[in-house]
Amino acid sequence: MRKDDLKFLAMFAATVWLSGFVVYSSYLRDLRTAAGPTVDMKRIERLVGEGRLTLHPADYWEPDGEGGK
Amino acid sequence: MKGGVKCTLCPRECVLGPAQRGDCRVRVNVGGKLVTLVYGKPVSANPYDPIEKKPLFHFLPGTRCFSIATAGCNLHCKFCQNYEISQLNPDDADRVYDLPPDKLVQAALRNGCRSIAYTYSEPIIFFEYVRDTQVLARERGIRNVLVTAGYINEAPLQELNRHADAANIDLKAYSDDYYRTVCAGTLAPVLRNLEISVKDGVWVEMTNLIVPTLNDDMDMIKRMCEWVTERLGPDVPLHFSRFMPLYKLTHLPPTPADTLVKAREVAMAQGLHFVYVGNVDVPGGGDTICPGCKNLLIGRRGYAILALNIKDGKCAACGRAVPGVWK
Repeated sequence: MRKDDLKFLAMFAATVWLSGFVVYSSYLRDLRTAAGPTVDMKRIERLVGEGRLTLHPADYWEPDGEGGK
Repeated sequence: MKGGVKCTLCPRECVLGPAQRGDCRVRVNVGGKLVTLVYGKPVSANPYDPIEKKPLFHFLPGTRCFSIATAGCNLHCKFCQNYEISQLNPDDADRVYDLPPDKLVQAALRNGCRSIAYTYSEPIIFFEYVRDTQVLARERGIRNVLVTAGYINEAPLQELNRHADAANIDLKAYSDDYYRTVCAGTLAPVLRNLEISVKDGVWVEMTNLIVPTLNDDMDMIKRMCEWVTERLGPDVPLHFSRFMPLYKLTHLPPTPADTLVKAREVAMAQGLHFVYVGNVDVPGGGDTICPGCKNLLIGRRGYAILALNIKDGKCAACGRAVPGVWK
């Protein structure tokens, strides 16, 4: 096999792997580790002070990585 | 993750770093603990909603419910008919009501509402507010109604169901691909939760919004109705609802009335007893007919009741029991 053929095959395999990884990781983002952006806590606290929001304890959560509830 | 939390309320199970909010927009990791921003802070509060608008056609017909919703949702349906609140951060809302559970129940009683409906956006994401209000409402003789997409984990659903009297649960399509690409969710939890809610004794009605070209395939509708008949029973009412071009699907036309009528025929051919057509004026589309003698049980036009021929939960003509909650 010529050197160019090997290079082509290697690049082809890398492209296929990368495509698969992008699809798989987007799946993970959608369904397992979905989350929104970071909030501005100062603004949130100001809105809580104005009575527009609460910081009420939520149910159904667990510290990350410490087992199921 | 140091200081991270994992929310286990819905199948997304968001993992949140410090000060990060969940996909639903309302649950935030504050100091390694999960908090809700919207407890007692709805952005919509309406004491004049007819129960038929939910839609619930077999639950206290002709009564009013007190409808509330907070900002946020754990799905992102491209067709959302309430996207102004469901896809809104609670911290960006122009107007917020201060209605903690006790004030809300008082307001419902004062306005003569027979029920409180947790609706418009998605009650699952304001779980703690719903649950605490449900308990107080029950104590004061007010019924609880969930209008939901049913995208929730099993344990919290069962907790809500303990105090719920009725639910209208969306089955957006009988296709996992549709849920993933159009709603950013998955089908399996919704099917499971429909079964759980029926088994838990909650009065369940279903809504299927038909969107032209996306979920109007009659074969798929047939398979969906087969599943409903087999797994939930033929007495669960199904509402086919007309899509209006909103949010990210403004390029699609409204659902033709013929499509809704055809879907209704398909559903009834699969053995479902109570199938309705909504958001469109189709003659007889909102009428309840006795599956036994074919007598008109409830005649409706829009949200108005024109005729009511149910006596003590039975058909006034033949005496057959009519499934639902009538008093």
